[in-house]
Amino acid sequence: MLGRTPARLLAAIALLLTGPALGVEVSSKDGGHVQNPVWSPDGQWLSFEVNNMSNVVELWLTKMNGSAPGTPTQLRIPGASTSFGAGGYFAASPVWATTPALMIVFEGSNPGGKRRLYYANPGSGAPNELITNTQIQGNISSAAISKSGKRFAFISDVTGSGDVYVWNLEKGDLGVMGGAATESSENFPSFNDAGDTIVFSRKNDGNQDLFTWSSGATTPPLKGGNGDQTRPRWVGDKVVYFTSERGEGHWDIAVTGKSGERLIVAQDVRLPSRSAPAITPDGSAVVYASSVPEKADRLLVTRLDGSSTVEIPTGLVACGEPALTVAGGRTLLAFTALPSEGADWRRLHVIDITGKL
Amino acid sequence: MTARLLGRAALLTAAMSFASSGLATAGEVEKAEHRRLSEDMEKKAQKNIWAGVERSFQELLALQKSGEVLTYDDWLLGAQAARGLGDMAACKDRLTQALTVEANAESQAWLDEINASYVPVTLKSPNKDATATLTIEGMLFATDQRLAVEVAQKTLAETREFSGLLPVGNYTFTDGTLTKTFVVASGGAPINLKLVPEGGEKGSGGGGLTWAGPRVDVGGAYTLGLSPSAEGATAPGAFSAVGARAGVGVELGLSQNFGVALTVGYHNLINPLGEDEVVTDKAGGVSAHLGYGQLSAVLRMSDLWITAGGVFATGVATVKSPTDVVIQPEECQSADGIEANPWCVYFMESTSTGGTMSGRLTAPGATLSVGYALFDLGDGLQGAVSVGGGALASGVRLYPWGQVGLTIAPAPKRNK
Repeated sequence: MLGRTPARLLAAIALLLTGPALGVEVSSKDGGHVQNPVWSPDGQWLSFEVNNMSNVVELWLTKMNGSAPGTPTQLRIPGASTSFGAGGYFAASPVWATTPALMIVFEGSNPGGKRRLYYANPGSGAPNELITNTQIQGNISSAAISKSGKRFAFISDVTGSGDVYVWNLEKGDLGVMGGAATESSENFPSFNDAGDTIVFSRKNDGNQDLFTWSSGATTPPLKGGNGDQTRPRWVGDKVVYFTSERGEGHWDIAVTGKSGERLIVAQDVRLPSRSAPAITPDGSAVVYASSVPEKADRLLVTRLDGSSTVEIPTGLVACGEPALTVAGGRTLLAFTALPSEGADWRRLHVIDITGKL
Repeated sequence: MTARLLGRAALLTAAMSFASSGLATAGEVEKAEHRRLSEDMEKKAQKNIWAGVERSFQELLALQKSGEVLTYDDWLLGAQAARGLGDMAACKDRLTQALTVEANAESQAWLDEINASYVPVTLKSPNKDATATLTIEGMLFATDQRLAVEVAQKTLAETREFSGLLPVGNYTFTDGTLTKTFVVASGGAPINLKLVPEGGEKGSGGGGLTWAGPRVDVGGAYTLGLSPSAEGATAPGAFSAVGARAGVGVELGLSQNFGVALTVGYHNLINPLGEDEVVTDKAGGVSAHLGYGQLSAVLRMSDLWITAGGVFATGVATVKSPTDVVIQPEECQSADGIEANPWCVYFMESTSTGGTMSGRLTAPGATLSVGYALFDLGDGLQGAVSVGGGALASGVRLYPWGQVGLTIAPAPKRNK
């Protein structure tokens, strides 16, 4: 997607000529930060959270009309009260499934209730519990779905302190991942394209390290080191993740392969509220925001081999949490930002960056 | 079976509430109980304890008898509870009720999704020595769909019968000896399968009759003969009488909710009272014996049956009317006059000796009845209590009647 030096020069010239990209702000309620935008795979829907930074996190969904977002609707789990009316309500961390139908899966809990997984068909407005108490009890979270839709992974605290469970939808069996029922807590499972291997993070000697699991009973370590290695995501045969090995407060994005080599492709990135690194739909680059104040008005797109970076100026403040999609021939970038210095709440914006990468 | 009974109870209580809405009003006790149950349902729903929500919802339905009116949120939680228990037919019914209370785009979208994802299916396995099993090809991701299939599987294993909503998919239905495969397609017609050898199967795989069988209506009727309206008619004054009305025929389901019924029957009026005791207008004892034919449209909403149609009756009637015989129209007083005026045949006086008039009564009319299915009767039949009425219109007067009776008809599609 990104070219080498000539492309970078052209992109820089284009940016100088055009100035900041003009974004469209997605309508959102006052009284909360917008965070964690996630596109549906077809780019027709955009989900996002609204966090009142106290005790309520809501999940909203908007349908895109080309590059223009529609009026968002809230995804309320069963038993939910009206917006911000009941402290302790939580609905967040969406992932999308396309098989057998387009569905959004997310975590949710009512005040005093367990964290469970819910799903909804976009537009239906009737979320339902995905995994019932009969199947497994306790808190469950951190959903991951294989591309084929045949395998589903999540984290449950019903055993240990957070273990990876795998649900084989073809066979109907659901159980703890072999070798993962440990005293340590596991989190952030992610399937590879074939759906036969999971990468996840595990608390290991005080820090989070990356491990993998196939069909065997073992979970060989993939990447350790100083600080945390967390929120991994498969991209082809590589794993992209956040690392804080340079010390607290310094988050980088790294790429590693099965052989264990590692490449830092971005430094001092702004850590999203809960998502893994954002990847371009073709899997060629990672999209992120910088934690360096001077670069807080732009978003950055870096090839996974580290060869080039494109900056997307936004004209906004404290940009973060980018998510990129391609729909109808348009390349759309969603992100959160403050409208100006001193603004109270982060808002969600969508920029059409077609032809800018 | 439990869900079916619960669904009936819900509809019955809803119907009773509707019928008595002008009479019963909830007291403070009922309102407080309603509030308690609603809060209890919400608390249980927040923890996904759907069996508990269902229990409270059933208590709420019972409160309707006391005049309590269920809110949109009540019905919605009831729908969510039914979904959580795999009873998508009840879920759909309750969601529909919620939308009658309050329009809501999200719930409408949910209902549309159910209609697109589920189809009514009836399965029967007559072989009492075998265990009926149902399998679906491939995986089901959505919880409501998985539960709906699991409930169907459990019901078939226990009762060898299932009637309810199943999600879209390819199914195999077998008792170990006979096997039927069928496809539930989005927006498809209801499916009705019975595991019998080829050539002996009743039912349809979609597109045939959704129910078929005999229909019997038996009951008591109260019939009025209103004052003559035809100017110059020779006829007694108004009268009334109790009697019986019974019909037998066939009823055919053309879709999941709509069918037709064709019946023939007998309708009589017997009022042996003396002339001073009868209802009105100096007409005395009355008797009539009518045969009728009736073609009706039938609308079935779960256990609620609504029948409306046209009727044509003919027979003889005798009325004692000693002091008030209307002068016969001049044009009907001769054979030539009767021949020249066809309307004379609707009520022809044959004798007026002693004030008693007898004659033939021939009249078209219309009927409407509402029934509620309460019990099963044999294989594929159901019994319902029905109330209704209608009117016959001769050229001389109108004959309205009301009746209460028992209706036996082919079993409708319902959720088990």
